Amino acid sequence: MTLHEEQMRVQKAVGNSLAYVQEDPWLTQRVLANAKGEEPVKKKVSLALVLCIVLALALMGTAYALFSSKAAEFFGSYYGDDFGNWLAEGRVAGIGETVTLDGVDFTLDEVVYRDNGMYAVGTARVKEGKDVLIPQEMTYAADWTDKGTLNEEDRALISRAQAAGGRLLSIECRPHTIGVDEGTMDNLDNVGFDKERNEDGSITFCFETTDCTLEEGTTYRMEMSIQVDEWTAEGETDDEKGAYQSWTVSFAPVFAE
Amino acid sequence: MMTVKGPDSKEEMIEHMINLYQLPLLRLCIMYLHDEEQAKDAVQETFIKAYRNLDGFRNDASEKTWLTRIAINTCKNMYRSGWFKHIDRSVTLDMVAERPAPANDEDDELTTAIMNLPIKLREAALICWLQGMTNEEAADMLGISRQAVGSRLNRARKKLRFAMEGSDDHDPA
Repeated sequence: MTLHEEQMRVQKAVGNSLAYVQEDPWLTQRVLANAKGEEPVKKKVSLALVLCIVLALALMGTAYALFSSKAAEFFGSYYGDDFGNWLAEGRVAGIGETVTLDGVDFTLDEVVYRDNGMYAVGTARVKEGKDVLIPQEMTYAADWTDKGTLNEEDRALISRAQAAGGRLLSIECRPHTIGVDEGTMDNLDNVGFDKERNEDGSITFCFETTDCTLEEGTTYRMEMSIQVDEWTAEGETDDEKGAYQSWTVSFAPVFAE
Repeated sequence: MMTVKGPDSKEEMIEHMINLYQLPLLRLCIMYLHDEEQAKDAVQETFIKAYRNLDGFRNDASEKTWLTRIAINTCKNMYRSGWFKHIDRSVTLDMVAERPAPANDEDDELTTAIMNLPIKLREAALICWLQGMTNEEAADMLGISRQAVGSRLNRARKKLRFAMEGSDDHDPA
């Protein structure tokens, strides 16, 4: 397929898939009104923003509680203490299962089930001390050679790996399907995930099902994918050096005593 | 790039651009941001920035290239804001907006696969394939080398091979 054929193929597919998208007949007026400062443009509030605001309001003015769950503590640090407390009252499964991929140990630490949603936290660590796990933000940066793209901490990670002859690695861990009580493995289509680099160089990864349709059961079987990518000092990855595999864990969450 | 003789005043110029490019830019922003409402905000922001910078727009780039650059930068800024940073969803088209009816399976499969490409590959794919820009224009837009654009497109091709039908490994750079 030539480049032109690729362009035609993609343009046709996107055009058909998004054919329902309509022009906004008032866009010119709103752009001109805003640009000239005549009147403020009415800002459309997206569903995501509404959910954020509702969640933030719901979490305000609440008391801090001690978390008994790593997942509750981690998600609580994102969404607020009340959310962490709410999660800590769910059914918790300590996992602690580890698999190694391309020199990185992936450990799924804990999964919490609460109100038809699932929340998981794990840790990735390099086996060789000379390799360096990079934070998620570095993978978003366009060009690492461009001054100002990376902060000093990011640049220090590159220098450390180069000095030690190690690799710069990014990781992913994402769930794909789940089965409840020996049932069929169903797709998890609506999943939020994130990663955070820790001071000891490990990466905490997390994911959550966000459509709240996961059935309640006694045992769960979850199939995930894990991935390791190697980055150059310029911020490029090489597909030939990446590694990918699936990983399935079973667990039976219970209420904390 | 051939340009048609256009309107004279700034107001007429921006209206002309909105009429021509609103829909293509909205599709681009939806593909980038995975959220129709956010995408509409991004398009509005794009044209506001364009209006404010019309005096600096020289015809050494086409209108489409110039607006695409502004739209990509606007999406990039929105993508890096808090919500998108923490909730990087794997999406389906039905999650982006309520559609009256699905398109054919092959088109939806390819569109969804592009939307779920990692962000760097998605940017390159959207600029070069959806917007029809050259690797040089994409390189300039993304602040990377032409070779890096070619590399990203090749990686995108590998990930999309199932949906692109018979794609070969080639670098058009």
